[in-house]
Amino acid sequence: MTGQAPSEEELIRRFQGGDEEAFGALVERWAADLLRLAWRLTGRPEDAHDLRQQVLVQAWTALSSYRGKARPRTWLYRIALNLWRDRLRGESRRERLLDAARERLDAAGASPAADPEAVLGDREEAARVADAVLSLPPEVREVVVLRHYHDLPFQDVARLVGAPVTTVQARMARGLAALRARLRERVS
Amino acid sequence: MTEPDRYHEACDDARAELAARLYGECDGATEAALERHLARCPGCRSDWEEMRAAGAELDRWRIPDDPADARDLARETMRRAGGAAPTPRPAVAPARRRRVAVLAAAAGFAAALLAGAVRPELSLTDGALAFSLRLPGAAVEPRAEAEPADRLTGLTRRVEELLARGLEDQRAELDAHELAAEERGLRLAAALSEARTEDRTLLLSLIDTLSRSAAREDQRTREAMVELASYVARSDDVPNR
Repeated sequence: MTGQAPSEEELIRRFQGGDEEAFGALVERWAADLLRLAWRLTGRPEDAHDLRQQVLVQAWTALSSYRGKARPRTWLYRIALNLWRDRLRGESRRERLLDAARERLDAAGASPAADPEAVLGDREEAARVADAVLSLPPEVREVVVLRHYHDLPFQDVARLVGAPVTTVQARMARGLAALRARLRERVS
Repeated sequence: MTEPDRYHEACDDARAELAARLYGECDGATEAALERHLARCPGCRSDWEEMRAAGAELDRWRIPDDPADARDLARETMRRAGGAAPTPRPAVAPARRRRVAVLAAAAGFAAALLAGAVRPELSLTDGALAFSLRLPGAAVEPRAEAEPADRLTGLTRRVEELLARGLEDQRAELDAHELAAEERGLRLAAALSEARTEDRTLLLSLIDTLSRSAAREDQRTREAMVELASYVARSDDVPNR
């Protein structure tokens, strides 16, 4: 016995073998990252919690057919991206982004953390950046969020979003330029 | 001798590579080529500085820690998903063999539906819709063992062709959402299992589509039909590939 915590792949195998506890362990590993991803994609805490729950329900269902072709995290994020894209299709994007922008400060303030200041740092700055990220077109925003905040290599991001690596890198460059322009615009 | 600028008049390419560089994903040769380009191109030099600044700015947006208890979250997930875990694959049955059995069962069941030999029944138990299948005069009993793959090889081939034709409509619908092939299976599985009462209906509609082109019933398809009946009755897991 090495005493090491089981890998996500091992937990999935256990779940596929009928061990429901393994799913609880997976949720423990995934919950926080999934919420961060959902939050940065949707821009709204309530939507983020809702999206995370939806992703987990779908993961629960689909785990039995997981074959290990993609890493568990990549597989999970793909579910999240698809569900988010579905939501976007269901609403007017412009309306949604405007709403998200309007709620940005409130959302930061509505943090469920015990000490929001400690977690958010400068709230106003955080809200400004959040607003800039949420104003990016979805295909750019997802790349920025996955690469920067979730530290996925461009190769993995490309697989997730279904675009060539060079395209994804170009979107990242475009996103960074747009962010900078927007942030400068706000300051001046 | 001065090395040529790989990105001369290709600043878009340089910017894409600079994004990779920002995250430490450049190899040595690209790194050197970018350095040469930056030394000659004020526009890209300025963009590179902007990228670095934007990267640092992004770190300011931090998401609050999640106070949710993962156990509660897992429990809620199970509740919404319908309770019991998707039936695990039997340890003794390799994936291929199981697929063979399920595909064969689908054909048999379709044929039986077509012939009216088996009828789906819905009943209300404890406020939930329950689904069951009945053969004339007898309840369907689950079979203890899967069909041996060798007996079903020919049948499987036929069923795969039928599936390809019979599921065309569903595929077209999924295509409309521009989903990759791998995603379709996930979506279908999720759609089927998310609503416990609706999943059976959808499964039946798939089988019904198949039944329109199903071949005539024979002994083997009858056996396979019994297998699918028990499969549907005891499992949320569906043939989704």
